[in-house]
Amino acid sequence: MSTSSSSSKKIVLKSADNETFEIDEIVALESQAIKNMIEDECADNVIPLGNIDSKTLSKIIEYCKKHAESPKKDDNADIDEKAVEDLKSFDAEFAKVDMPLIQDILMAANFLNIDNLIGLMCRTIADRIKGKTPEEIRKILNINKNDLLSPEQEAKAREENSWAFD
Amino acid sequence: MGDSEWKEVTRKKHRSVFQKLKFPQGKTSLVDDLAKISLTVYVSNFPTQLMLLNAYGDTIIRVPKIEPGIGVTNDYDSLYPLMEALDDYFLLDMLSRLDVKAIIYCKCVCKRWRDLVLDPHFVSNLHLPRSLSSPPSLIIHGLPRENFNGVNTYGDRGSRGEVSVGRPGYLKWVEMQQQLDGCQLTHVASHNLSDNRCSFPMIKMPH
Repeated sequence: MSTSSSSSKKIVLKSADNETFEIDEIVALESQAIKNMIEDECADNVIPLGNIDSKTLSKIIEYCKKHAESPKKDDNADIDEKAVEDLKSFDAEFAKVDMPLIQDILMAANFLNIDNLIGLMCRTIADRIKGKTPEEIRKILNINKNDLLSPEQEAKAREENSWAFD
Repeated sequence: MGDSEWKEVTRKKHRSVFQKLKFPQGKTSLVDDLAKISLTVYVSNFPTQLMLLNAYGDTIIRVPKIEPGIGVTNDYDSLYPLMEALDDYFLLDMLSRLDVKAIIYCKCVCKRWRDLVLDPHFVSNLHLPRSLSSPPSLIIHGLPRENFNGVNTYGDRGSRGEVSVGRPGYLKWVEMQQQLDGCQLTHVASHNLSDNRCSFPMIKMPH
């Protein structure tokens, strides 16, 4: 991978707080949105990402780098199992961030159209609320207090499936 | 302007806005496409905050302005409530990865979540197909408390009476009809796809 990095085409991404990130084109192609821009020759030298801050963007680049380096599943059926395991453990480590950052990454991944990353973030949120009570879920995700059920509505929802609350 | 001044253009215009509005692959709903359009427009220096309403005035897409460095702070109260800014698409994706019991809990979290998980589309088209890999399970939200005896399912042709499914993951809904001995109410049903027949483990309701 690194052998061609000096000669390969570079893409510069600019975050909302005006930090620039120079990355290999192959890394940027992990984003379907950027890929479309490049294919359509819509991309300038610098791609401004006015709604992604630098902290989020650097995380996303970290993810894209790793995934661009890893062999793709559909390229080769008998792919190295070690590579798959390696990617899995990378994803698990990658997801160990706080909830606000997960949400920022999720929104940015949607914007950049990186399907695998969207899936990873949704799975991470699901894993964190699994086995938690409604009160705990509200706290973990800082649910809008204006949207809570009334006591009667909550009692009804609990009663409909009261087996789950034993 | 004479006719001679008109030229036929065969080359596609570079950097035209229509090229930028390319639909992404893989998403099917109209809302997703709308979201992609609006987000794609957003990158080309349109307003930094965006809100899209449907015909009834409900917000369907909201892209909040993200202040630089917002992810750095640990003061959660200063952030917008988590998940609120997210499109339903992500919530549904996330919720469909949960087991039935977790979803029942999610139903009590807030109104938006309750409405999402009560939607038959979520139950039969999102959650059921995805749950096939784990213990397959079908969410049944509340049932009338009277007259259950046995289970009728509706397969893909709308036929009733047989406890079987046409194809894996294609079970539409389940109807409880009459009283079962010792079993007040069945809230969770799962179906065994290996022999293409449903089995419904009954869960006894405490009185």
